[in-house]
Amino acid sequence: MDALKRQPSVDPAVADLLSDLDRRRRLSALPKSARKKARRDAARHKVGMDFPPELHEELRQVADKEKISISSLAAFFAKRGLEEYQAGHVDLYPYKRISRCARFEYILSLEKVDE
Amino acid sequence: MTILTIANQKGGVGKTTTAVTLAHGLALSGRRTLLVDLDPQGHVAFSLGIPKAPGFYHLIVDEESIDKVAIPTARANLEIIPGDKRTEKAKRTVVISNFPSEIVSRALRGAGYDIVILDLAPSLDVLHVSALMASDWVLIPTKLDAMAVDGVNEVLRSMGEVVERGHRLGYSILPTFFDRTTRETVVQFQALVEAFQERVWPPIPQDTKAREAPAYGKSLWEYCPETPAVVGFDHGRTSGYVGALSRLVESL
Repeated sequence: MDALKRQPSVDPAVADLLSDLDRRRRLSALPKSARKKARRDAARHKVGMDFPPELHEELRQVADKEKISISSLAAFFAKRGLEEYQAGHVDLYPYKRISRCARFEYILSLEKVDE
Repeated sequence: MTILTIANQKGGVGKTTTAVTLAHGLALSGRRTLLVDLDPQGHVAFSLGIPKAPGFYHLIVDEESIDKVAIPTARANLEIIPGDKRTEKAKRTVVISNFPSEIVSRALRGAGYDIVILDLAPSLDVLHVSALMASDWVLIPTKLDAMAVDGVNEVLRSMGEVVERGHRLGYSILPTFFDRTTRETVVQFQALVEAFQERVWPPIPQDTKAREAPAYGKSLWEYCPETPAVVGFDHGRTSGYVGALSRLVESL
């Protein structure tokens, strides 16, 4: 068993600042071209989401066909879907199923649930 | 009543700016606050646009009551006991008194404030020890250079003496004049956090406004409340003097 090690307790704002300083230090150690790319990457907002494999594959095929990235295609469809939902054109109710996860009451099925 | 001391034996680290800003911040939050200038330079009064005066001298040497020597500042809930060069003479009185280490706590006994802030001179003398003996908490502002950080260690040594006499004392370290583009600042900050962990508060950014405010006799809350020294780097208000004030209130 690993020896017990006391967790360092640092003020959260100080910890944030230290990690920001560390990021800047690592950035300044990179060559100029890599620095630009690293800055661009840092500015991107990346999120992880669960997609069924078949949906991912369908998106990939459309993205290939349209010569665009899957990310931009997924963002586009998400935006269009959101607009439809906000306009009241999408009803989530027929897709809702009781969730087994304690964090959420429902999950959404991609297939419409027949009542 | 809580007594907070602002101390670092190194000069120019932002003790008076910190004392004035926190005192006025506490006063603005509705706490009756007394700020006492124990530095013969008398810059507490100057920073608030008030003439220097021998208030601390009269408190210690003439044993006048706090009611007599504390003066209003035209700011709600904030009074000060000003200092001037005669504070130096007061030190001699402390040295020859029967209980030099207790003279400050005796002088402040029964003061009707929620919090008293003692702004110390950049020195290690009998007044310093007497102020520490009177205090519940010590805030140590430090620039992030080797000499100022050494000043932190000196304050901690004095606090050790006070603790040996059976007086309990908490402390925090407030890095000031923080410039994240300077390598030495960053190195010293990292070393400070490594050594003192949660005792280190988020730093106060280097800010010209903090140098300008005393010239107009205004606190930072009056002169430029949205400046980086007040709101910090991230505008999340977890650092800067806003962050220091909230941590201070939590600590007391």
